[in-house]
This record gives sequence, structure tokens and C-alpha cells, in this order.
Amino acid sequence: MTLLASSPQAVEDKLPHISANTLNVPELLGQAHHPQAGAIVLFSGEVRDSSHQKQVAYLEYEAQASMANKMIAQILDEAITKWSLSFAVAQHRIGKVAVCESAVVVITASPHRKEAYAANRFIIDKIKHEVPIWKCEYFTDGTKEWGGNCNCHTITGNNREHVYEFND
Amino acid sequence: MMTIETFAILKDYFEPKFQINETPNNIHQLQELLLKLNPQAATLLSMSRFAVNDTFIDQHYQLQANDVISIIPPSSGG
Repeated sequence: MTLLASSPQAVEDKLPHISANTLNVPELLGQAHHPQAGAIVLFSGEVRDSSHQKQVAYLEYEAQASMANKMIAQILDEAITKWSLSFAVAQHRIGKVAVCESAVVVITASPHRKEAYAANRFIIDKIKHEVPIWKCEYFTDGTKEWGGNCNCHTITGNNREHVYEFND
Repeated sequence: MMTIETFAILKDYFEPKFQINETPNNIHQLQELLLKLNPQAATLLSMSRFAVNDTFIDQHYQLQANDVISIIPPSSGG
């Protein structure tokens, strides 16, 4: 076994769905306005200050970045086609994310709100269950925990099948 | 040599990136090899998926000597 030097995860501009920097939510929302869209739904997944009855100091997200970027792009394409969206975008943070900061943003736009809501829920669910992104919770007492692993396989019996909140 | 990348909680069991001299033919053989390196990772490895070139592979995929293999534990994004 040979160990290879590990370098800090470099995220390049060609990975638009993965960001090592603070997500610019107003700017993303600004991109969503569309003459055919009567409805825009914005979901922001934010860092809470408590988890497992403990005070959260911050979260740290890690991704297999190139794979995660590709998969998010595919999920967006699928949603755009399925609900005939005018616009859809999703960005996920990696690295250290503070309480009250946005860890993931999904914005969907469509002529009417039903499609924008449904598509938004579909996209965030697929990202949470399927895309190789992991969070580690760091608590104020100095402990840490890799958090909230998808455990759908205990229900479906297959680590490729998930239980989603959205309804097809 | 095959290169293995591990992520998240798997890094508590293996190095983030390492190479192996052996050339397992498929995921099953690779899993056996990894278990020899760290038997405590058994449950986690059984829940993980494997990817080559950013694409998930299945048990039938024929591993190549120079493959870079990502081991993907269950996700917890969002």
C-alpha cells in the first residue's frame, strides 16, 4: 500500500454546482427571473445550532466534487424536462459552514407554482439521498459526528434504492 | 497500480488516497482486499458504492490496473 499526498480539495469554475465559498443566494435568485415564470420557489438548507441534543459549532461538508457536480447537473436536467421548468439551479457548499449559513440552495421557476414546488422538492431530495456529499457536525463540546447518513437501505434492502419525500 | 479514494467516515478507517499493488478483478475482490487492511470497516464497506471515472460501477465491472476507484459511503448532504 502506498500513501499519496492529499491536497486541499480544489474546486474549479467548471464545477458550478459545488462551491467552497459562501453561497450567494440573492444573486442566484436574481438569475431565476424569467418572463414565462409566474412562480419561483427557493429552498435554502441552513445550518442549525443544535443536533443530537448538543450545541453545534459548525458543519463541514465534503464531496466527491466532480461526481457530485455531474450528478446535480443530471438531476436538474431531469427536473427541467419533467416539469417543463423555465429555470432551475442548485448549489451545494463544501468546507466549513457556520450556523445560519446556507449549505445548499435549490431554485426552481415555472409558469405556475405547483410545478416549481414539486420540482424543487424532487431536486433537494435527490441531492440529499444520492449525490456523494457528506456532512460532519462539529459540536461546541469538541466532539464531532458524521451526520445523518442516508439509511434508506435498511428499508429498501438495496443501497441504490431510496425513500423520497416527494411523490412522483 | 490501482488508486483508491475514500471519503467522509471511510477516512476514519482508510487513508484518503492510497495505492494497492494487487489488481482485484471486481468490486467483490476489492472489498475482500480492503477488509484485510481494516476488518472493522466491514459494515461500512457493505453499505458503500464504488465509482470509476466519476461513474458508479456494479459487481460485473472488470477493474483495470490503472483505475482510480472512489469508494462512496452513504450520502448525507443538504
